[in-house]
Amino acid sequence: MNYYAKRIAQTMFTIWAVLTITFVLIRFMPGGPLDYLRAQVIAGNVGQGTGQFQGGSGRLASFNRLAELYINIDPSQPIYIQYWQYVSQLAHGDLGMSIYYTAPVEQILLPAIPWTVFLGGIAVFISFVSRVVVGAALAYKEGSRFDVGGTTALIWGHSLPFYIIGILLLYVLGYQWGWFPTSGRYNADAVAGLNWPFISGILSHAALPVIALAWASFGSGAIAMRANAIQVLGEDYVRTARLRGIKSKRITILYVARNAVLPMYTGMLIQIGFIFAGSIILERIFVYRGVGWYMFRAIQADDYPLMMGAFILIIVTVSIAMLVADLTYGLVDPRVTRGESDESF
Amino acid sequence: MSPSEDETATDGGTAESDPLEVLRDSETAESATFQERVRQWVDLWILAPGRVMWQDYRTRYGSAIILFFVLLGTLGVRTVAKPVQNKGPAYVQPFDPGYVITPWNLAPFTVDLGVASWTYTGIWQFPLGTNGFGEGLMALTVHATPAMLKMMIAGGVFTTLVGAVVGTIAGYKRGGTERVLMTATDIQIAIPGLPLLIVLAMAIKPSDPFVVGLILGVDAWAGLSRSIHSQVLALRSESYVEASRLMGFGSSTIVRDDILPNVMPYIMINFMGNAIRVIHASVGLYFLGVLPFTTQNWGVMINYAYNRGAMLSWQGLPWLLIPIVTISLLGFGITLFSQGMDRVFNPRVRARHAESTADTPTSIEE
Repeated sequence: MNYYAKRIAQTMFTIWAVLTITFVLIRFMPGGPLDYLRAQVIAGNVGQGTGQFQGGSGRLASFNRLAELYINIDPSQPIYIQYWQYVSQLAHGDLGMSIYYTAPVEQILLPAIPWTVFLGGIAVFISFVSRVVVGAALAYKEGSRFDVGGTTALIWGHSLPFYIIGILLLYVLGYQWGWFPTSGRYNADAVAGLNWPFISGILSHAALPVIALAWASFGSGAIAMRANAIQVLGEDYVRTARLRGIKSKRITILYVARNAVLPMYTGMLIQIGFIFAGSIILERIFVYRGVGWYMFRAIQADDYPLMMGAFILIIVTVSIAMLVADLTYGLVDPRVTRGESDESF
Repeated sequence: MSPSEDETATDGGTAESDPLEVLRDSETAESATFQERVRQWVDLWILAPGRVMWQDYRTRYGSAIILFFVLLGTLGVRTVAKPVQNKGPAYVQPFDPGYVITPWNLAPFTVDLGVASWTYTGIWQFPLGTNGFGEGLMALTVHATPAMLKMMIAGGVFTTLVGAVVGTIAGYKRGGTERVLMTATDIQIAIPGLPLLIVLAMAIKPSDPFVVGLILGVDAWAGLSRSIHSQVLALRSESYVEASRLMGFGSSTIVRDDILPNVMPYIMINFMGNAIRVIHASVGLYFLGVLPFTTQNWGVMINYAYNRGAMLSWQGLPWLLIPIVTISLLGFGITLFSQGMDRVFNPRVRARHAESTADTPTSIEE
């Protein structure tokens, strides 16, 4: 089969599988969303007051209608119809209704996406550049005291999860020294628009989360880059280039850097998934209202529709990002031949 | 098609027994005595790895750190009293000499060494200080260890087992089995781990450390499965595996004897990597408050420190820092250990340190 078609089919299959898993979790988990919603309806927390609750005789019918509204599942229908309705409504972009915010989930999450992407994009860029530079520097000084010390420090750094770094940064630079704001996305006093107070506010609010996020993949990435670069430095073509008397700066950039950086491209794209996944903890620490923060709020408030909506959004985004990564890899690295990529030896 | 007793062999002689049968038996009918074999086995599998481990500073420090945590989780829990709220004032700093206890009513005494003297007045009641609730930080840290060790074992074993079994079967069986298993693996890899763990933890609300460990391991098996799969694919066409197949060994025997020993080092090292993942994931989920706070955990400590005021003053530093240092120390120890183990698993390095392997014709392996 054509590689592209196969890869796209696989992504569709993954998304479908995840939707099915969420359906099963929502529908059948004892004490899960459906039971929770029923308890909320009986307690009168949901529906009443908003005019959706009929009360008395129409109680069951009204509960079913509410379930349909909030989690896209109508328990009165046969199971295959419930499933079909669930999947088709999600496919139409209807993620259900948040219990906590009493607003459609997609209306809550869509405005939050750019903020998460903004944090993630800068973090990926910074982490990529610093990894390449540090890893290459260690590789050039291989075996020296600088290399041994640097590698040990990187291993140590890698043994700390990124959110711990985030908490420490927030504690020292945010709370104790007051260099950076401790919560929020932008300066509330500034007028929104293209003016310096507003933009600098956005940047200073993003600084700590970005450093923490960039840290996440820095340690292992720099070690991988070091290994790549050492391998490339030992290749015959590098030695030949030296013998030919090519300037060492030219060798560094054209011969070594290009070949050592290429394998890191996939790593960088896998990070996209990581950023969306890690945003839940990160945005909770910095109270940064992105997709992850809303998922955290949903967890706190037992708001299952919002939680599942954020979960599905994250997974669809990541799947598509990885699909794009795989489809474009051939453009970046011409050595990859299509159709053999899943052959492992 | 085994040759019968009276069938003549091609060279004209009679086939007294199946030559392949002889080959199969030779492994069990070794000429060495039982004692010698035991000695060899001990030398090859215990002494030699031990020597390699001891020689490498990474395994030496790594195993010391891991041993320290195991002692903390077993003996430490028995010696350090359970944390109790308001046992002392809030925010006692570490090693504060103002709060001491005197075990066995030992009277204060002074050791005078001439150049320096030291007076015993008692031992610290709060060696690492207290948190905002007046709980001893050392007690909190120590009593969180057993549950963490259980989670690491449960999560590590589960992940590694599933990953290794799926990868090996898919790689060795090929065909439809492979397609199904590898599709499942690809899907699992494409699903980001943390959100999945959160959704599962919210749905199941586990409190037993072993169950928590299992759930935290759910997202990690796919990576191992994929790499084991590709290694097994390469191994299955090796000549010695081909030979075993021709000799008529069953699939399970070939996988056990010819394939698993080759991927075992990788699996072991992956086990340790997974243990670190479980630590980080559990701390993260406890920090978010997704898992019920039924057991002590370093993540619970960080959660309280973050939410209940430790961030606001320098006094809160121990409250925040001690669980963090603990996590990083354990993670660092495991990383060091697994990097050193890489050498232990290398058969060439190990053979150099074994005494009995170099010139004993009886040993078939290695």
